[in-house]
Amino acid sequence: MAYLEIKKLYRSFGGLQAVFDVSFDVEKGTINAIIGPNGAGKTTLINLISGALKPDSGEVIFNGLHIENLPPYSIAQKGISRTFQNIKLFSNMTVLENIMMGRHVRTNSGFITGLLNLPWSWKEEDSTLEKSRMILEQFKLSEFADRPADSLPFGKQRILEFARAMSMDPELLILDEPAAGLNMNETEELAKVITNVRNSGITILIIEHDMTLIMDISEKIVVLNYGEKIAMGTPEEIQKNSDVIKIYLGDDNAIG
Amino acid sequence: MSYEQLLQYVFSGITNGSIYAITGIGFNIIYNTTGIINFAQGEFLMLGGMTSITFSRYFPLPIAVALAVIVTAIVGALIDFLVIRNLKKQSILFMIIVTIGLSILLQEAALHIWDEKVRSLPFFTGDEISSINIFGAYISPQVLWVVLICSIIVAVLTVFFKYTATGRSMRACSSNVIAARLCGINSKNMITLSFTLSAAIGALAGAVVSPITQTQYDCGTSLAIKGFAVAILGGLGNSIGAVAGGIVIGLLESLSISILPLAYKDAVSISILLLILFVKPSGLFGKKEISALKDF
Amino acid sequence: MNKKKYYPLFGLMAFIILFQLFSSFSGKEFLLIQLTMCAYYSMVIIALCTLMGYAGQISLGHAAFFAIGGYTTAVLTTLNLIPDKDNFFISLFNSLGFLSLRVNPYGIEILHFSPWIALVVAVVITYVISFIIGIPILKLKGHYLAMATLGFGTIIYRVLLGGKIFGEADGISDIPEFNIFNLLKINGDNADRIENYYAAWFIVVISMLLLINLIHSRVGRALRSLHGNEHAANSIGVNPARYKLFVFTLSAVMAAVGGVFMTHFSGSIGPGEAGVLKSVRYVAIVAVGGMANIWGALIMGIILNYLSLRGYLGSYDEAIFGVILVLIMLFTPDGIFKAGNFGSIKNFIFSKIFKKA
Repeated sequence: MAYLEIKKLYRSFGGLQAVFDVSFDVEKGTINAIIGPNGAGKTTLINLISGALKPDSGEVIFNGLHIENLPPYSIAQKGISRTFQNIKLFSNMTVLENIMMGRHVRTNSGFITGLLNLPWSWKEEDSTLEKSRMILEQFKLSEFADRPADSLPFGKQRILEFARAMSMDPELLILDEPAAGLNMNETEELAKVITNVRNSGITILIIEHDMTLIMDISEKIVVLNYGEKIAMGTPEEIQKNSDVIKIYLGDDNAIG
Repeated sequence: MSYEQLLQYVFSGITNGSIYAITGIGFNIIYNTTGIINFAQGEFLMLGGMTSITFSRYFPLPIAVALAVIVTAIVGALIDFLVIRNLKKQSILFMIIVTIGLSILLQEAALHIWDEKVRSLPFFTGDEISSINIFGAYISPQVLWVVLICSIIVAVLTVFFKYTATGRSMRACSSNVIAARLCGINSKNMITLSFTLSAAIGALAGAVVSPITQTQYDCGTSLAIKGFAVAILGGLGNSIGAVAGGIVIGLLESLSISILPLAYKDAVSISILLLILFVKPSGLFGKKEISALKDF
Repeated sequence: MNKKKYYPLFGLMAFIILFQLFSSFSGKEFLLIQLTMCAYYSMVIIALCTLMGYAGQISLGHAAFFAIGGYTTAVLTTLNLIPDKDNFFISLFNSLGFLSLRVNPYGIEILHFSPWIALVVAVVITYVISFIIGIPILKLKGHYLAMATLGFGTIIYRVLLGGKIFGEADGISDIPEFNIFNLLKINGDNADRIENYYAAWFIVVISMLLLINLIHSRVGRALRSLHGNEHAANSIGVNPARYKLFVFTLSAVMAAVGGVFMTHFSGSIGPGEAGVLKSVRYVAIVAVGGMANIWGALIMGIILNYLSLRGYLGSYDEAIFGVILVLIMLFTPDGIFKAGNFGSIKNFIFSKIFKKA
């Protein structure tokens, strides 16, 4: 059985079929990309996987568990973390606190413990802080630790969101256009980070428009168009696939 | 309950319902251009009632009402001009808080200008004991005035928003402020206009209903909650829905009096509001998907 | 563990003691009465601040919870059970020590529930009401949440105003003292006002301690994350419904506890305590204090309630809270304690004058 299985997923909005009969598998420890033109249903697809949306029908199986009807927070507790296309940071918190939020699923202190500040939470808080500082270091954000998250420059905010997702110690990391708005250097940096993350054993599902990035790092690519999967394969296979070429270059190119 | 009694309740429901509908439409006008729920909407009705009562001492009734509408409209414009457009943080929480502050200010200003006495405008035609027999129920002619004027307001607004350039510009702001701005629409002026307009219709409704329900400095709050209930029931932003919602809530409220003590009248309509919010916040006539897109 | 967060608590305690000493030595002990009332109102304010400022859930009906607490104890400790004293349950309660007997000023014997039982019942009732109302209400956001809580508050107000058992517009008076192990008595006696003052502030200090702990804990962070971005919080493993319900019920119960003690202190309660204007006043104080600033809220709560209770605000009492709301939102939406906000007021005035000129 595959690590993450998407089976016959359907989702529509009103009359618009955003995801139509999409199935694919993701192997553990690989980088998998979903590409397609704007409005192809990529973000809808990962919203379905991460629980932000419920599918009309179909299955999502992660580690042998059905997760298609779980709410986002319990999917996160299963080890799936994600970033958002339009960055969603906790703007009322500092950079460090944003990272510390990532540790939420890996810690346990509850309501009563919180109110009474019971001693067994102290150690947990210390380790949360320590781990978060380590992640800040790793993502070169230490100097911003105490700044409000929304005061960072845009590129840094993307990195912070990535770092927050990583501080969850996820098993599967879903990235929604992580390179959008980044310059060339930052994108190259990002490619390295993503590859490192994969090398540490974490599985990655990524949506991206930057084709160079995708072709460089991914092992498997799924191509969507109008909500349907039209191709799947290695970067080489996708680059040669005539349907894909038609979408990306075809008709528009002929006219323009 | 006899047939005549039932009819009596129905007429009183329709009267209150029309007023709630106008309050609801007032909410809608401002909500549509700004995304704000103006918690001071009920105070516009109170101000309209109060100022027209004062003016009626010096002027004939129609002129007094007209002056009241103008004064309240100016207050509405000033609210936007002095406060809303100067807000630093335009988040929903702050918008709620600021309009609540304005609502208290208007109430307290009314308390100091007038006093805590209950007043009312003279009946437009006839007096408190004159009545018209309709299908066996005896109703005050003022009820007809309320229904008539509320219908005129709805009709005029419908024409305004559908067929005039200004009305269409206001609607454009509601669907997409930035796009509207790019088309050369001055969205700031549209917001001022929406406050002015919704204050004006609130004042007119407040004046016409004053002979029946009477006016007091703090009568705005419960009107605002009911107007909001109506706006939600009809689907926020949908004015025809608000009319239907107003009639529904007005009828339920007046029928509740036959079962429950009068003191719980407000509790009944507010319970309906809570029920709608819990069960179907998009309203009876709103689409779920659309309301989900709005930023709530 | 970081102990810095507790330092302001010592400041608060020092202020409480100094104020008492000052008032006793200067022969103005009557000043303590209003400050005792401030303490009980502060319970609502810090509870609301946690709910609204930290967790981002507005409540325009928090006065209702204060009133639910107050009215529960008022009804239970004034309802005369003598006519039913042979009833099985009443005699059972009596033998369990749940009831107490007193003689009211008119010489009538009254058998009623003891304030302890009333306190427990008030907490349970408030918890249950806030839990039941919280489940659907907290699904709402923004204007919808504001209106729904306003509606809830209004319903409670109307029920108290219209209910015979609640004394309708007059409310309930002749409420007995709350005797805590014969050590402290919560009552309105002038002779006991220092005792009352310390009892009240003791409750506030304990509540502050709990809330400060909470805010700085893992749970507190999760609550703030809901304020920052609920979608992100959800996707990072925070169950929004569960956390919101927790903070909502906690803050409701805390407000109710304030209401219970306030009622024993003042000996009476009226429907005005549940009114919309009261709820709005609490929101105003939290906003002036800076929303997510529990100390700011407490300080502004003490100052504004004190001025109001002493009557300094005169007939402009309510109006001033309206003005405060508008001005704070215009000039310093992050509260009055935010550094550098005085400059921005000046800039605003100047820009208005010179732009026109």
